[in-house]
Amino acid sequence: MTRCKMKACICVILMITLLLFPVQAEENFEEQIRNSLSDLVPAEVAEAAGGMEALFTEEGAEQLGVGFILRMAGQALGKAIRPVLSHFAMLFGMVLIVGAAGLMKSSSIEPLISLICTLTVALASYNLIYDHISVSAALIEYLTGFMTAMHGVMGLLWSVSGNAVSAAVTGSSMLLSLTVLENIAKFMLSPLLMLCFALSLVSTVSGELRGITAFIRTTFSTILGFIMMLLMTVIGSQNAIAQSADSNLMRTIRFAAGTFIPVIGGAVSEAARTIAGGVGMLKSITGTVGVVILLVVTLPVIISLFLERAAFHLAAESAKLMGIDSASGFLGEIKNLFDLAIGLVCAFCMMFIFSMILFAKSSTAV
Amino acid sequence: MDLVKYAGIALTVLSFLLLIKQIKPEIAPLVSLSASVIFMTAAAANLLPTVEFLAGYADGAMGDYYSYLLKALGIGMIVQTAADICTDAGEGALASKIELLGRAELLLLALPLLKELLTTAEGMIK
Repeated sequence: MTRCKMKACICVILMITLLLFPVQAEENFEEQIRNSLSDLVPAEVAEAAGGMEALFTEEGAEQLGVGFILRMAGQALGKAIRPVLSHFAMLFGMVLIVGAAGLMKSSSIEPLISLICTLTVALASYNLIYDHISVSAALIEYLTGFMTAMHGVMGLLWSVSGNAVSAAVTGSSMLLSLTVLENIAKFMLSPLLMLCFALSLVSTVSGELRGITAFIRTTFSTILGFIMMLLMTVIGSQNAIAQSADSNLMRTIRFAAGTFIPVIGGAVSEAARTIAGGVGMLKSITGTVGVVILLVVTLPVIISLFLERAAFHLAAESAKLMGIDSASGFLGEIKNLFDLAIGLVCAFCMMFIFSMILFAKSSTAV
Repeated sequence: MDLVKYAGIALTVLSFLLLIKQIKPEIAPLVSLSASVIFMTAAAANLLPTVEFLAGYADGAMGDYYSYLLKALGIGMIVQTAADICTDAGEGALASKIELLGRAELLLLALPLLKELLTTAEGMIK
């Protein structure tokens, strides 16, 4: 009789503990997420959400809507426009001077003036493009770092919400993607853009090399596009399959618990569902906040690259109007380099956003 | 309308030169030189405000490249004007020497730029 009472007491205590569990779990997970990402969250995002403590809560996430992203994009545009205008003025001024120098009819002086003009335009452009390549490389490094930190958080939340197979499979494919992209960014981005720049510079003297630059650019973007598509397909399909496997597995466990363990089996099953519900919401909030962070960090760089590209495009067109073919060709090539840099940054960002959306949208298995 | 004024001056100087060449041909190059100096100064005065306005927008470090371009443009204008006057005066040899001097000056001007470009190329290879 005493043994029966003991069993009943243990059952009651266990049930009360299970009822309290979801709240504690959510609080602990939020704390863990904050600790993992605290160094990587931009100050503006934390501020907009109402502080770091409120960032991964429902109220905090509500503050980070489309309006916030548009406001950040507007701020980035405002910050980027002044330096880009200054760069355009510099390039346009140089084009004007080169145009004035082109009016010299002395055949012996004109090539030397043309050489000085080419050198100055090339050096000025190099300084500009080098700054942008450094910023793009730093951004990609930040993005891979952020996604590596998110990988841990995603694994944790997936495991807690009963998606053990998703945590293992999608986590490993994410890790593979991150390694591939990190290596591309580290060993290919800067050397490739610099090689294209050097070829563009040489092609101002010999226009025949322009085709090689275009070939390298097209080949690289095609290969990168293919790799991105492959990685996205692998992550997407593995995630879908793993989700089904998780769901199937958890249903079997819940059915077994509910059928074979009397009384407590059903309670455990319901408690697990409650936990999963809470964690599922936390997962959605984390995914959404992750997408917002990715956008807030990437948008200023993309806007700046776009504006700089427009400045070079305008300068190239002005040079063409003045009939300075060499300067027009060179500036046009630099514009194409900006196209490549924009493509690379956008591809990396899209890839990470895709993974975050998959994570946020994935349903809990319980 | 400065352009109309300068076009008028050019036509007056031309008529004057045609007359002088018949009366006193030895001073014709001097008149031509004076007119060239006036026109060069006017051209520089017209070009400078635009360049200064654009240079004001450009960054400090980037604006340094302007000085190279302006110097090259100035050297080119001076050398060409001097060489043209010498050629008009029938001193072709002197004109070619002035052009040679101008080329040397331009090469000297291009030297720091070439050095910077080579340093950049070295940095790229490293």
